[in-house]
Amino acid sequence: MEFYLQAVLHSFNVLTDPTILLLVFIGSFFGILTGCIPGISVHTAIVITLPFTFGMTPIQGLATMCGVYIGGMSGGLITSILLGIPGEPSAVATVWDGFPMHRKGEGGMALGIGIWASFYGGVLGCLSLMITAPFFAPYVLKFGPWEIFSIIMFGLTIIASMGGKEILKGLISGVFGIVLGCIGADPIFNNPRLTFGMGILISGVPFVPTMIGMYALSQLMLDTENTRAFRQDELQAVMAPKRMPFFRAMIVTASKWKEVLAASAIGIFFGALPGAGAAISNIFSYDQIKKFSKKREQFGTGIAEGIVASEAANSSVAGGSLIPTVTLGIPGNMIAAIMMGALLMHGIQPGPLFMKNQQELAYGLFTTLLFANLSVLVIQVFFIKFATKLLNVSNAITIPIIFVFCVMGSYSVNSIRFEMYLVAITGIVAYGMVKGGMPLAPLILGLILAPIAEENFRVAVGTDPNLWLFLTKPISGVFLFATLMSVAWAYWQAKKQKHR
Amino acid sequence: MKKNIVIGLVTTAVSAACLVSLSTMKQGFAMEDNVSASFFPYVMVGLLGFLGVLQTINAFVDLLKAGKDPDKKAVKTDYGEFWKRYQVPLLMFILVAAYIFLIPVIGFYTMTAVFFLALGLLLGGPSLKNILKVSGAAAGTILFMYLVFEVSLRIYMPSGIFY
Repeated sequence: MEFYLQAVLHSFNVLTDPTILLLVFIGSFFGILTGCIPGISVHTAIVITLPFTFGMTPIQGLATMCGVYIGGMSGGLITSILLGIPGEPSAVATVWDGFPMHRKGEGGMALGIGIWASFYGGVLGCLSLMITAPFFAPYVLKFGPWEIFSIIMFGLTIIASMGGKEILKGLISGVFGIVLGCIGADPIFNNPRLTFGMGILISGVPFVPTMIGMYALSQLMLDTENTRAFRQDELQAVMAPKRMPFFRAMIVTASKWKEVLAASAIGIFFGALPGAGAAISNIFSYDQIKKFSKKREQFGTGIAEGIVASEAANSSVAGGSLIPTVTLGIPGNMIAAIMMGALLMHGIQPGPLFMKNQQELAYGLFTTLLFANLSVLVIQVFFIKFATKLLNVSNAITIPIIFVFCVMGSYSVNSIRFEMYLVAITGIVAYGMVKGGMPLAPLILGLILAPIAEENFRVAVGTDPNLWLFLTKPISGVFLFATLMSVAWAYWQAKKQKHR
Repeated sequence: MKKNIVIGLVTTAVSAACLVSLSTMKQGFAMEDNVSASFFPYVMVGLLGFLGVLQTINAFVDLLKAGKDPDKKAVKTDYGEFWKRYQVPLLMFILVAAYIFLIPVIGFYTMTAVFFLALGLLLGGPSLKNILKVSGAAAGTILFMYLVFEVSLRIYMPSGIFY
């Protein structure tokens, strides 16, 4: 316990580095800006940031991404409240009470409540990460390659199963991601595989351009499907509130502490559950808090509880999603997966040994995440009027800017032209996949986790060729059983939906 | 429904291509007391193929069922509507592909200016106001990139015939 407290206190040293503070601040600012542009998701924002982090130290890179993550999650509330369009899927439920409140002339108050609820939720999520991750770490250290392989398989199938009625497509996406992850030299003997004679693929599928193509280019193409109608019709509704009563909003939000706690607990739970995340948590939290509220009839008419339920939940997801990432090496959501990918490119593998071998980095991550919440709060309090002006910037300007930065980012990491071409190739593949109803998250996760899964599988079989050990070792067996159950459950749900 | 068949067939084809690639490896499927470098990819590619076949069969069954059900008979594709909806993303992709593939020939900064203007006009229309806005944004972005990346960070972008 004493050691743990020392480690936590020591981690605050990170905040004495002005470069880190500045990077968190810049990241938060960028996250808020992208979060409040409808159609540009926090995924796109973090993917754009990714190439810039490679020239930094791991903690600086993580600090920047933490800022973008928290800023993007929180920035989504601005469009939800002022336009009635969720800037992020995680802010869908914020619209239900935020927009009606704005229409009643209380837009400033609605924004204030959303900002404070995000802050409280974000801090609670961080604290849960700070407490839970070190608590689980010693137990996870006892896991062998059998257990880790089974946990990865469980994580992958549960994410693929989240595709709802399209479970088969989710599984195809996940397995396709694993196959892509197998491209290049094998992790033990360095034998090249699946390179189709292309020498450039021996080091594997490049992570950054793949991410940029899959998440940024495909997303931008999807956004342009209805670009003219979307922007011009909706922008007429923008009315920036004249007053922002932040102090009063802080007190109002704090007085809803029961809702804040409940929503944050839901957010942390969904964050820690691989594949669930903010998009589900805000709606589930809104629904549950409404069910147990004495004011349930007033939900949807513009009340503070509705905004708190959504915003505290979606912001606490960030901390929750990093719990399985740092302890098990299985990302809780896509953003955690991208952050994990960034660490892997620095040669650092999140997972059971992360908390032990990279203690300073792990605790530094927790602290910077906590600071990112404070930074987002400060930026939103002082710059919210500026952010609302961004809503009037046309897609004709934002989309080319984002795309040019994506191309530059993909090239700047290794200065290889093939990586620019890969952006176009993966972008069109991802666009086709989305149009065909295939989720992208399992593919990305498969791509990141494939080498880890394979290495553990081969170490396990190399130690003892008996494959039954995967089933007979208790933890491994439980996870493999849960893997089968998650597929069966999702299949059964899909059948049920089809019959309806 | 037809798109589900396409997904199934493409998945199966990708899996078949990967199997052919794996079969050219010197190491076989397994080694004594251990697994070879191709074992794990073989299993995953096999699983991908299996899921692809399953997807194709499912989609065919759904198509047959829909054929028997008069309420669910396939609606003819309206190509006019299709073009209207996908016109902008498809043109955008063509612009993006041309931009990326022409950068090494023409040069990053020149191509960026051309791409920025072309995409800005595609998305915002050819009004004078939009042209001025997009031109200003393009000039600002390029200047920012040059100062930050080339001057400060010494990251040099590809140059071609022009800068």
